[in-house]
Amino acid sequence: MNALEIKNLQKSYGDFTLGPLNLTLPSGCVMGLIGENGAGKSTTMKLILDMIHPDAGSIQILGQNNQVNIKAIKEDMGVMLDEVGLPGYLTPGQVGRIMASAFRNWDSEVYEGYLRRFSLPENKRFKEFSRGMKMKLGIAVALSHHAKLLLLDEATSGLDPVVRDEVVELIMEFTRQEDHAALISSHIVSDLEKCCDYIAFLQKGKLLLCEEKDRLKERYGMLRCSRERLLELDGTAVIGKRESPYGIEAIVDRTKVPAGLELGPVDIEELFVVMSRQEGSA
Amino acid sequence: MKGLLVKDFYMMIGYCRSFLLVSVVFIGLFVVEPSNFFFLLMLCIMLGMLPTTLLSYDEREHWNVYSQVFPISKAQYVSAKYLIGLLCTILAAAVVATSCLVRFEAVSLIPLLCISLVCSLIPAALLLPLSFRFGTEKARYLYFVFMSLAAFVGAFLISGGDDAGGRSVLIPMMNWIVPLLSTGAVVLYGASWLLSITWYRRREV
Repeated sequence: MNALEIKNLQKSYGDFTLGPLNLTLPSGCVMGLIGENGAGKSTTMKLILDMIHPDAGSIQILGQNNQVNIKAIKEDMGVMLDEVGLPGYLTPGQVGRIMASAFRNWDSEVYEGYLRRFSLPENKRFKEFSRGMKMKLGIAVALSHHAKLLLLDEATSGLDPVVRDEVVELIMEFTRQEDHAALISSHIVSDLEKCCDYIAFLQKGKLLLCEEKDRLKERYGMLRCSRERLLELDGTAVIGKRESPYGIEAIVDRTKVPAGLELGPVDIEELFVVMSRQEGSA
Repeated sequence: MKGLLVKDFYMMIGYCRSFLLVSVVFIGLFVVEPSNFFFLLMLCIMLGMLPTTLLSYDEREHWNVYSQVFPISKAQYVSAKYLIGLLCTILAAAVVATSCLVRFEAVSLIPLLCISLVCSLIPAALLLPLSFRFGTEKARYLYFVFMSLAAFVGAFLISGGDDAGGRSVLIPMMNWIVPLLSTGAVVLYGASWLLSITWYRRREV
């Protein structure tokens, strides 16, 4: 079963239009939704959660239409937005009691385990927490009711590398179970590269690509050569390029360049930056 | 729903302590001198405003957005605030009744209870739909207009009497106007509840 299926999703705000967006996230997988600020990542997340209404299209979450019974669907979803909107007066202990009343499957032992693991004091007020601690509490809340689908919207932005690494580790732990899946939006591509099976690029509301991470790495390569050498290649093979006094670095489609051409590996961040620039200048 | 009420309960304990102090002062003013009953009614108005105050805190701390990631419908979110409003109304009525009994003002009890109902239900009934539709920031403008009007009416009634702070003017009117207003306030509160649910469902936060 697919954890998430988005079909022809569209949403317009004045001069911004998201979609038509088509995405499928199989169970047991992690998908990274990458895009610049304003690309439509948070809009997509809000549409999935039915916080905003789509102009067209449909969303199936764990086999159910999100327009039909989103309240029941959310019992199986763990969500963290870019800001954990808990009232500053509350302590983690109080948050636990509130969530125990909100979720049918709330597991206080799991929650308390996360509080201990993250060294979050149970009686300290949320407003006194650092951003890292706030995000950790948000993750503890998102993971303590045996969710099957995890949605993280910019969950690692503004965090130091150590905390970000902990978050990535948690996501990987979560998706070790076969029926678990995660959709993670971020513009910190390096974090996504560590834990994602699928990568989707959003640019100005349009989906540039959605593919398995390993297939992307197999398909694209980094060519370092002179300008003249690059001009000899099929124009459609070049996804994007960067020029310097020492030559050209170009990301090319391996299937469209002559066999035997020496290509280096390309990481997702480079691919994202180059594709974004290319689209931006198109 | 229960989770929302628990959360609002914690919020009231945390953020509304100054409210408790003001309440004690207002009750004390009435107990010492019953002509100060206007303060008691101000207390009812303040209690009626409490759901809007809680909503305002929700917006400031982005709980109104964050709560939507939990299995809580928009109707439940709205209803929690209206239930808090009802609890505040009961509390207001209890305060009025206790204050009257302490002063042996049993004759004024029923009319004052009716007025307390009006004073606590109508502000919430007017402000909550606007807050759910436009946000508490914009609805606050209406709050100031309402409070100014309430103060104006209160001052007029008090200055209009020739004894005991205008009670001679008020008491005869209470026989028919106040029960009518009380019934109207209850109906308005119910209609406001439904309107808030409809408006908040349409709103994208």
